[in-house]
Amino acid sequence: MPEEVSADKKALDLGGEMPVVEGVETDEEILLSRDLTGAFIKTVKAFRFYPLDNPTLKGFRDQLLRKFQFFLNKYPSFVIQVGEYDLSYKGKILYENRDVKTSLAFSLYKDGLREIRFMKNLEEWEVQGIIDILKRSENINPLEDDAVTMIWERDFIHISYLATDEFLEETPVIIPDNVDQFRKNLVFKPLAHHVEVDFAEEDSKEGVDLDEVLSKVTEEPSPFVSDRSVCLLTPDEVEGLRKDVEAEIDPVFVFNIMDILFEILALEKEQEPYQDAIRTLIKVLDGFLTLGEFVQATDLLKRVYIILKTYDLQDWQIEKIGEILLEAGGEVRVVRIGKALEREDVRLEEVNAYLSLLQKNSIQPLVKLLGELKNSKARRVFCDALSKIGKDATELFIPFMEDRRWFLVRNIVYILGRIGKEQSLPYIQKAFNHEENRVRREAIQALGLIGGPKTVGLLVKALTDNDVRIRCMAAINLGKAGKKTGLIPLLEIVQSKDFYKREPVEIKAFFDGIGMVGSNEVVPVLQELLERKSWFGRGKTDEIRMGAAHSLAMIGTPDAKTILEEGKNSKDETLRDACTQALKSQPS
Amino acid sequence: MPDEKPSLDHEHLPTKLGTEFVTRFYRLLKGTTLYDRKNVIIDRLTRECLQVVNGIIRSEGNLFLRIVRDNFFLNNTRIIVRADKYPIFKSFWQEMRKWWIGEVEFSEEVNGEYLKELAYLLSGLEENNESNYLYVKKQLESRNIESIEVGKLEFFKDEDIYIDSEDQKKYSKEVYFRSIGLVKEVVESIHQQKAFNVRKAKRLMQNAVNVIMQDDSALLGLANIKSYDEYTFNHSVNVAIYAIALGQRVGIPRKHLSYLGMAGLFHDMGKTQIPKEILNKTGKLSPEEWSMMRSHPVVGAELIMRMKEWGELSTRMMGGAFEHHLRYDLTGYPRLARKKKITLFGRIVAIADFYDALVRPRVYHRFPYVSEKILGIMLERSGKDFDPALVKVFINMIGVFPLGTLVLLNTNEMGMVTRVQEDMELIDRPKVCLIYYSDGEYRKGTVADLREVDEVSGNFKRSIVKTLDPNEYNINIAEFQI
Repeated sequence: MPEEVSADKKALDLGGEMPVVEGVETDEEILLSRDLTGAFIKTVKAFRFYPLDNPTLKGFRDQLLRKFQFFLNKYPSFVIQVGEYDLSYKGKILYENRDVKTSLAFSLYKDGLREIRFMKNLEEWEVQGIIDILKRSENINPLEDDAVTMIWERDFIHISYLATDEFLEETPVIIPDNVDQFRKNLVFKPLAHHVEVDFAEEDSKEGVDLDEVLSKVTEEPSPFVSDRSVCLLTPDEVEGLRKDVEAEIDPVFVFNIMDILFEILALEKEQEPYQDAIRTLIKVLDGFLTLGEFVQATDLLKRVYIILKTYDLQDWQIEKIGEILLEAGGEVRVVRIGKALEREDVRLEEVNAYLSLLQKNSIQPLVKLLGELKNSKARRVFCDALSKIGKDATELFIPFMEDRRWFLVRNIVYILGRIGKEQSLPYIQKAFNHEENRVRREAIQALGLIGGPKTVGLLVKALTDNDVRIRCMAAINLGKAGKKTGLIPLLEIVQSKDFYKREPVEIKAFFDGIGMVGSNEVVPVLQELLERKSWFGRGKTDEIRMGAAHSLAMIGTPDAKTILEEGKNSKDETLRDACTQALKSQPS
Repeated sequence: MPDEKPSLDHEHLPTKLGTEFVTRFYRLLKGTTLYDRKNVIIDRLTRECLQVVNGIIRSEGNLFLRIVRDNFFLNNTRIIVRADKYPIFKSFWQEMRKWWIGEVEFSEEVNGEYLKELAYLLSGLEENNESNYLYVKKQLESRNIESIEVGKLEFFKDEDIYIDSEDQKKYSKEVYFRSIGLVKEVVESIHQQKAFNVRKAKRLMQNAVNVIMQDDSALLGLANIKSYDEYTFNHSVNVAIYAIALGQRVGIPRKHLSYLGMAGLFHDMGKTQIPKEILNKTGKLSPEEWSMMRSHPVVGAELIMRMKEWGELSTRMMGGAFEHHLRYDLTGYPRLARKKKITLFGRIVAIADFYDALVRPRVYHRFPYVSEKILGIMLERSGKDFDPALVKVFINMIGVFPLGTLVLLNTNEMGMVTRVQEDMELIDRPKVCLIYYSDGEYRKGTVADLREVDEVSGNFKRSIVKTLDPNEYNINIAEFQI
């Protein structure tokens, strides 16, 4: 027994139904068959008891396969007779259990199974297959399946069975033994018109007169009677049939039902079958998402949108079809998406295409999943999709701003920034006061994207933040906002006494911000900063001069350019360098 | 965990080589029944077969052909039987089954004499003798032929392999009439809005597949029954049988053949929702009645959707119900909002449905007769109403003289076709049950094989002169299946 089995599980007795042998069995074959049957029963029970991902199961199965191979190497076959409560081999009972609820023998017997035969060269997939069937046999819906139908469907090569069809006789059917009995049940009726309807064209209002068709044809001999070659398949036809068969038996064929369901939506006017079709389409969607087939899932949703746009639908139909779109972004589907994203082969652009078709109800489950995603690229895809889905529903994101996970809060701020609506500002401001710097930085970015006069005040505040990156981002975003109101604080800071002591990246950011605003009014200030005597010695870069020059170049007005041209010819080396580089950096 | 049967590559070499070998070997075997050892035709057939045998041995090291149930394996790899080679494989399998031979192995290159020896040994074997393989082994040993071995055919009881054709016929009858009973039960369940027993239907269709895979003539013969109980029940079962038989010939695997049978069985389920007065109306239908009739494919698909959880089986059943009137060029009904290719199952059910509906009595108290004219209509309409390739396969399956055809022989005897010839060259030489008149009735006589040749003259003993209308003789050919 595996060590991880908990106390209550230890009660599982995997060998309890093996009959006690009185005396000593000397027949080697019987001994081996007993051992094999024991392993077989134990393995089936283990598979019934433990979850599929339990690693012990592989051990059970491998051991069973080895025992089968050992037995079948010695003897040509292993044939188990199935009794009502027992399994026997060559007349010896090897397993017995009279409890109809737990007896493996009974569950097989009631399905009609009377014998199972295992042949030499038994393969691993066959052993697994029979275990799967026997595992499921206790939970089968008796109206749908039984052990016999399931074994038949598996098409085993080295396992066969003997079964009775007694249950087929539950409903009495007369099978005529002789011609008189047969004649009694013959029903001669004139051909109903509906058969001729079947042969008519869609647009025709008349049926086909079959007698007329047949009498005409009777005069001419059929071509294939005289010329057999008309019935010979061409190589293309052979190949075509082969491909058709392959497509037909491919497991993904089940998704073909989608076409029929959409046709039903186009044709059906009754509510109940309509609802059935919707329900099944949702299951198809589930299937696609489970398999990670996002292209197909997207196609399904697109078709739904097309129906809504192009068909002449009643209100109840629109509502029913709308259910598909709601369900597409519901919690259950989003969980499936999450599982599919764990696969290595998933293509994020396909996921994105699906997500972009979802509706507002998907926001909450998607954000929940967003908080759990480990892949940064996937998170990006989700954020971008959510910013599209939620563009008119920013309020749905707000509850997540209080989440304990800073990275999720940051993602929400990112989304709100991309949505770009002013009503998010109070929440972004809150995020700006978050304890995590990365959230605060994102808030600054979001402010920059939202723009507008209200953001300027917040960005100005950020210019004096403790975090250098935040200060830089605030400066840049003030520049992007393009408001002159933002210029004054920027200028104040760059003109301050100790500004030159700041890190080069910050100095650059502030001057870039000034340059982005693009106002000619600041040119004199910049000129003054440019021409100010350098505090740095020869050979050292004067970041202030560089920044000012770059800012002038970004402003690009004639005044600004004149200053730079003059500076380019200056005798002051740093001034000359600053102006030259600034002029080069701008596109001609 | 491996829980799926390993997939098979259809294009691989064993299929090609195996097909070549079976084709040549079967031709050689047939030749031995017609010609003696010294005949030049036998020499030619032997050479052609030898070329293939030795070619395989040179490239693969050996040639081991094994028959496991209805599957063929070359050097332990399954041979996928192509639709156009189906008749040869079927005939070969039937011969080997008759002799209880399931394995033939060539361990090294052989010469023509050895191959000839094997072929004559096999074709001279006693039918239905399980020990034949031992006999052949001994004979080969006594002739010092060590490079050829044969083995016994393994039968499995679930297949209910009936060597006795009477057992086969009896079992086929059970499957047929129980299926009619099942359809009746399902229709009643639908009317009472109760769940129906899918399991029963599955078992019956699986049994039908078993029977058809062994020998489809019994069930195809029973499909000549056209007026048993209500039209819908009888017709549904016939469509299922034709569909399975056709599907087998195009290479659909076993499990999916049972799905095809289910699709055929329930293709007209939508008609259960149409009032009987309309269904049985012989006069012209009103526009509303037309519309109701034409809705049955959609209604059928909806019924199945309600009855059965979405899955492999229900998808195919819905396809059979929805698509069987679409027509190959989609000019049928219902008119689709979005064009699509009809599934293979849909095309098969369409052919089976059309054929069975046409081949039924159109006049009160008339017996149906199977007519090649109807197959001619289908051939004419192929490409428009029907898949052209499938029509060809269907015609080959039904035959020039289909099962149940009443024929006049050149010996002035009357006969009824009981087995179609798979061999294209002998397709006009079926097996016929001779019919004689006695005590006011036509009765069954012995079975004559029209391939039989008179030893003296070398001519065929009997030939078909023409087909007969059973109504002129008041014969219901279906009765001869009972």
